Amino acid sequence: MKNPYFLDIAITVLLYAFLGNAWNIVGGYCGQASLGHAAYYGIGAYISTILFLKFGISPWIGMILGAAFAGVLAIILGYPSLRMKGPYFVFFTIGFAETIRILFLTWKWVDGSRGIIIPFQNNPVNFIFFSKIPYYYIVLGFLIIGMFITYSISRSKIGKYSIAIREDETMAEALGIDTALYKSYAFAISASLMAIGGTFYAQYVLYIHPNDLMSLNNSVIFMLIAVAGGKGTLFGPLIGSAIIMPLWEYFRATFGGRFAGLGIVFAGSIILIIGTAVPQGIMGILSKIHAKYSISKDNIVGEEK
Amino acid sequence: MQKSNIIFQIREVSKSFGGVKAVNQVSFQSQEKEIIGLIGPNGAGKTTLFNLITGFLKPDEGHIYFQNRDITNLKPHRICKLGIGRTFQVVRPLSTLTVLENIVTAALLRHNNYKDAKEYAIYIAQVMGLTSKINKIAGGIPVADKKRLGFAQALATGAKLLLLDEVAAGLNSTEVDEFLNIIRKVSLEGLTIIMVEHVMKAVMNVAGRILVLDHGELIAQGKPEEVTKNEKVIKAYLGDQYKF
Repeated sequence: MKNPYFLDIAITVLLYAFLGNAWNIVGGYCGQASLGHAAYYGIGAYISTILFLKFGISPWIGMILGAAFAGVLAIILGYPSLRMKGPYFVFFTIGFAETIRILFLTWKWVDGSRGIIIPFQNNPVNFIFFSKIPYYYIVLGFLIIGMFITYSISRSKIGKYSIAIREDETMAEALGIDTALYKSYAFAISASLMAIGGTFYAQYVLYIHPNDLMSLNNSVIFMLIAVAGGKGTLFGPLIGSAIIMPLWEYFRATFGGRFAGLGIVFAGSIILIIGTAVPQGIMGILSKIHAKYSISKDNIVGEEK
Repeated sequence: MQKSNIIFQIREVSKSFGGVKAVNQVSFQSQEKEIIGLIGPNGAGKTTLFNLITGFLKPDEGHIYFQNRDITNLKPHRICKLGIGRTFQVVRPLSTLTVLENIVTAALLRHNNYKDAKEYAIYIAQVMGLTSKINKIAGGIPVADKKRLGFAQALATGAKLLLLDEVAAGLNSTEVDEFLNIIRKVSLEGLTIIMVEHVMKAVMNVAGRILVLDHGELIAQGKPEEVTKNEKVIKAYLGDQYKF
């Protein structure tokens, strides 16, 4: 834990587990495969940073405001976008995120393509720390809260309705579920968490740039983490992040110079392999193994009831 | 809507797809606790009519009333919330969920508390004879059970009016009998039922009144024994050449 390099990887794993978990609420549970979540990530980072640098508002408060803004934006956008189905919905989300990215790249008030450097004023109130260790515990706390939120949702009416929408939208409507409304709920919660992750990133790296935060690359990684680990499962994103992010980092560190972009090739390969061989992700494999060894027990329970 | 025990009414409803009139000026009404059989040859417009009633399609003309309320242009989930439940001709269980979770999802419409919804779902499963299968994954159960499940879900939404789209199709004769018993039982508990059916034994046995659709038009209605003797109905099923 003393080695800052490994601590950095640990923080990255936890942050992306948190982000994958946020994506999972809408992409995994509700079945709406968004490829535009990087926009909410970036919006969170920019809102807290601008409030901090231009208005002197603590990033802790900025984080909450950013989350609220992202949630409201998701509901406003949700109305038109969530009526689209399949590939049209995915295209919409990509188009939305790219629009936001380019908007920020060209927006002078937020320093456009120069990005924003957050001056190093280390003070817990400023969400800036000298050591990496507080960041580690903060992101760990975020992850635990994020997973607890997912857990609570999965056991609530919103969660059950989200799953019904994923399984069969027509049937969901026939069961009295306002599909547009419940999709919006899932989207708003997911986008708010994304924005919180964005603020954490800004305060950790102390430099934000539209391309670092809002790129399609990032949106793909959020999805990849949830899908690789097991979409629609509580621990899927954590497992996905623990496997994908160190590998990603390894590719970046080893091949970053001569073979930049190899990480993307790797990510693409993972998606292909998972899509064809294990669509349920690692959690799917684990639950199959579990089922194999507990078949007899399940049967007894089934007959009893 | 003069009489208070008329729960449901359709007035001159029409729907066209391109140039084809799938449903043409259909009107009928239904009393509380009635079991109505809706029959007709393939393509007569039966399923279209169900989709119009439940809001999955919007009628070009006409109005639909339920419990003295115009429900003509409401969305499917609103119509379900008001108390019209339906099954689908091709079953659509929530495949990765268990049978119980499928019913719980439906029960959540009138039970905000998950525990209450579960309790109610277990009761519905019992009514439908699904108790031994509640922990099975819905995608993997036999078709007859999937049909039961679809019925169970429609019931669990707390429907006052049930639209059953070919629940007996593809079932063997014992299974059909089981279904008819359930339908009778449910009707006795105060539900109104409109059932589309190809299995004549099923409708003729259980329905108090039969409506016959052909080319989108209501060509006959009445008691089962009257309808089967109706010349128009025989023609619709057997063609013009058929002579007595």
